[in-house]
Amino acid sequence: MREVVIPGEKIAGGKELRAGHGTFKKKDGVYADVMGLVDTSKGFAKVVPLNGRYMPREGDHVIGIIEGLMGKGCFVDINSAYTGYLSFFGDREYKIGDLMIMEIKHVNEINKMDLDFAKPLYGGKLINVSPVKIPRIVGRQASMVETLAAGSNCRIFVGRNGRIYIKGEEEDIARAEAAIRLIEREAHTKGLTDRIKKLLETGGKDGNEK
Amino acid sequence: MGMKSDLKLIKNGKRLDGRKPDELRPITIKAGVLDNANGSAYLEWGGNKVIAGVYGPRECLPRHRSSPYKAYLTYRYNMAPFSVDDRKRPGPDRRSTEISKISAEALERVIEVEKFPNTMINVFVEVLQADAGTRCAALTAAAVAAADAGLPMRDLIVSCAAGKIDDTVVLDLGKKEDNFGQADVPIAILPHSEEIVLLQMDGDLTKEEFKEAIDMSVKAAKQIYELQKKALTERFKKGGGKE
Repeated sequence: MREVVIPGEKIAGGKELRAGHGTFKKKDGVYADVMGLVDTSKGFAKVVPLNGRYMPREGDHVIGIIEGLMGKGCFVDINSAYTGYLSFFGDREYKIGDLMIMEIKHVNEINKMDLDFAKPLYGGKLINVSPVKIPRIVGRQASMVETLAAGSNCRIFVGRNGRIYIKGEEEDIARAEAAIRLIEREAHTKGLTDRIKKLLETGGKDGNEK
Repeated sequence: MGMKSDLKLIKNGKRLDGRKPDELRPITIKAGVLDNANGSAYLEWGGNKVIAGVYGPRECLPRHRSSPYKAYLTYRYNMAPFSVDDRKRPGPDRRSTEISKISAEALERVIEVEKFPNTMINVFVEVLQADAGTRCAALTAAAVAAADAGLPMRDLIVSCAAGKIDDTVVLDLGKKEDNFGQADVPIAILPHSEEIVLLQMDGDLTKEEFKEAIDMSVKAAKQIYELQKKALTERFKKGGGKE
């Protein structure tokens, strides 16, 4: 298992590794910035955080809730410290409380952002998970989320901001949610995909086997 | 401090509770104890019981406090009415306002607030039981809670008091030592760079005694840092954690 580091802990000395995400550089080496798991592959020292809020990044797909209207656009809550702004195009307009998946088009240096490509979501269930667990739920080349969707017979929309939208039959949604909760709990363990497949086949009854 | 008494605080080289001059009281720290805060920690330090919760970064309210350069960091040190012998009148007072201010300034030094412009970070520390040295205990717990919240930090903060009783410089004053001693120096440092981020003094010390007190605290801080580290790493070894 990869090692857990806490802020201020030295990861690498000298100039052997470059400072990646979640680290900072001092004269004598690279230090951890956040609490997380160390990854020292590809010549970079980086720390994968174990907790934390979502920070907007260009190109991310997020699930937002409209929380205010202004002029030809609206403010969108994206489960972050910052709210997004979505412009209305043509005669398409949305109401406060509407849920939609969209892309972050642009973020400036003080994290103000423009959103685009909004697609409304109807008739499913929204669940919240910790944003740092999203990469594990999506999996390498979306392998995990494909397994989830195929195994539970649901359509699953994953937002980078820690919101997941599941659409399908009620029992299927329950199965998918149980699987997602399992991934969230055991994100850092090995052989997770196999356990998820097993859980989805058995109908989410023995999700707490470990 | 300042109370006159015939009480002998040091007998045969041992203090009232049997500690050596440079010995800490027992400390236990647990991270991630609250479900609803982004990060949290519980700390017991001798008779002190402190719980810390961290929220944020989140939308800055009131809006006029927001800055486009950094996050607005608030720190609330609060003592429960039942934390002391006589009932403490609830609410902020002169003492807790001061402690909150200096602790916020100390914590702002380690949390990378400039990464979160126009937001606020709230740190709340509740003292459930007080037994001298609560501001140090509170700041030590707050640093663990902030790291637990996943906030980017340059280092943790470790805080410990030193002081003078019966003309001897000692570490980590207890309740009676604090009340009847000659000096109390709470100090907070960054364990890696040994940079001082909080320093106060009540009572009198000579230059040499002051230096000795600081050296003692710095040495003790390294011990406490190991406990903080253990608390944070253990939280994720059990698998997962809250949420």
